Amino acid sequence: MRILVCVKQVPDPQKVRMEETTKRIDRRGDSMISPFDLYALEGVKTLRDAGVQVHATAVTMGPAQAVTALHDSYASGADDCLLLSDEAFAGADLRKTALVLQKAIEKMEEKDGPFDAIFCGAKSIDGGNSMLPAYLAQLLGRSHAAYALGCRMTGDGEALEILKENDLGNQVYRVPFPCVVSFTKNSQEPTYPLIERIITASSMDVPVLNAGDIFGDQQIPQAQTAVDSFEYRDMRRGSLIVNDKDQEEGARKLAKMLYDAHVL
Amino acid sequence: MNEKKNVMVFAETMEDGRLSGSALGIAGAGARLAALTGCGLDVLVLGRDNGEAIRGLSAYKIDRIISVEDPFLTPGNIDVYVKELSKISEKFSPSALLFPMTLYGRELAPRTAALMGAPVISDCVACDTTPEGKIKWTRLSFGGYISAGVESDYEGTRFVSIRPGIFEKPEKTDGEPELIREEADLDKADLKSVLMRTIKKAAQGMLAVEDADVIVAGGRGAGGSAGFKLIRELADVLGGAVGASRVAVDKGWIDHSALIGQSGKTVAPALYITCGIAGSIQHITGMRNSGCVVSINTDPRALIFDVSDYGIVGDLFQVLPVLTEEIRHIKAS
Repeated sequence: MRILVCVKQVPDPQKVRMEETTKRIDRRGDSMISPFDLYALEGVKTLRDAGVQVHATAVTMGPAQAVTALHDSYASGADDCLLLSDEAFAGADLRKTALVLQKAIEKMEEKDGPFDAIFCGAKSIDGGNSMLPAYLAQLLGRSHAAYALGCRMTGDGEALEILKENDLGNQVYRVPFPCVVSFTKNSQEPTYPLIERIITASSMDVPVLNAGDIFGDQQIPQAQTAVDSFEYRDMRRGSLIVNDKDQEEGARKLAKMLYDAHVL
Repeated sequence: MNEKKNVMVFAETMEDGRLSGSALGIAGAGARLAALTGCGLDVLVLGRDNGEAIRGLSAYKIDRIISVEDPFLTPGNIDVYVKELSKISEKFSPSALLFPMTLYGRELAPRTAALMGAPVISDCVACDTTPEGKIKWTRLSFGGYISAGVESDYEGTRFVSIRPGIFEKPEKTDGEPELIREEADLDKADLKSVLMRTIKKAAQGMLAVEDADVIVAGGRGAGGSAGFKLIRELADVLGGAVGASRVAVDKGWIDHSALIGQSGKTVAPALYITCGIAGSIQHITGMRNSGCVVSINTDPRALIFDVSDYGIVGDLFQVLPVLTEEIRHIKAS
């Protein structure tokens, strides 16, 4: 089966900055593959381990340096990769990103055949919307499941059985092909990539599609929302920490502090 | 811009028809937007039996409640739910359609918006007008480190997803909202993903973290169910809910619904007490907007203390029993 894994290169959240003039995230600094994407790649591995033949393609939309997310994807099991990159894609909001991906997927499927499944991370840790997979699924008219913990083929081979965890309990959904599934973190760390693949990945040439390749003569979608202003918030708090040898006495002190501060 | 059309709020309901904990707060966000744009406020309820939800909403200053009932309208049938939502949205053409940024809302909002060709502004915590008279939504990203003001020129129904627990409920009213009952117009053929089974949890009826004003959360330091027993005792004395970091959930010490953080819930209670939580960015992301943060950890250099207002360096097994007892006395007197 053919699976497309959509990944994203995100800024290191400890070091992220915004560009003053464009009011966009500065994507030139330290960055990494969004951690949730590794669980999407692990979903591919789960199917392979169960004996399913999978050809996995990793795709990302981003500036040139986003190619490292694709290198990481290859190292974690993607067979091939594709970068969607163009100045015209900068500052894309949710809908624009989904439209670009939709069109690119159309082009990819025209060329190499349909994807049975599209896997994504449940959210990216920059925007953190967690909405792109659902938006994309609806645009494509495909079945959808979000926040998957695990997946396996159904007996009839026509769907994925998706395990989701939510407030109602563990739920199992049957999600027929072609589908879009987003993965969240589960209790198992993703498999560490093989060293050989990491080495190969670092020197691989990744093909690039630009706006012209994807849209041809058609108009490129415009973002309909934009950041107009931003500020950094210092999240540190001045803390009053009790550090007594006698911890029980310290606990009493703490209780009194909280009472005096009208916190209780 | 469709200024005469009302703001519409999607009121999330549970399987049993009750309003979810987020619903009235999202209605409050709608009230705020309606006030800023000079229009009315509608609340939309979709479900099997909306009686209780309608009763719950009727006490508040809402212009219209739009109710759609059908046995097939359950959260598990999300494909059908989305289609119905989009039909209502087309029919009433609200200036904005507000959703909660809950697990469920995060699927409903984008899918309905995609059907309508609309953008989505998500995870909003404040709403203001600009000097030019446009609506500006404030959203937080990177765990609250960056606050951004987002505007849109989109002229159709604006889809906005609101962070729960931030906006105040709407004002109460002695009057009654107008109740409009819409016929459901479902096509079961729309159903693609099918819920096959739910393995229900044993512990029901406990206060959920997203509904709590006080949360006591446990992490690695809790060590197991014994630690969580102490945590629950403190939560009970404070009338709060029990939360957890990823480690505690992964180790099975507590249910996933208690998870607070990057892959769990984002909460902002008035009081958040951490017990044996180190303070990874993944956890802090979910709680850093809490009113007052108090932390218990054996490591004086634990990162959690950086985002705490008060704390104690100590072992929760020694600290919690005494702290709980002291607070019990304080509350009794």
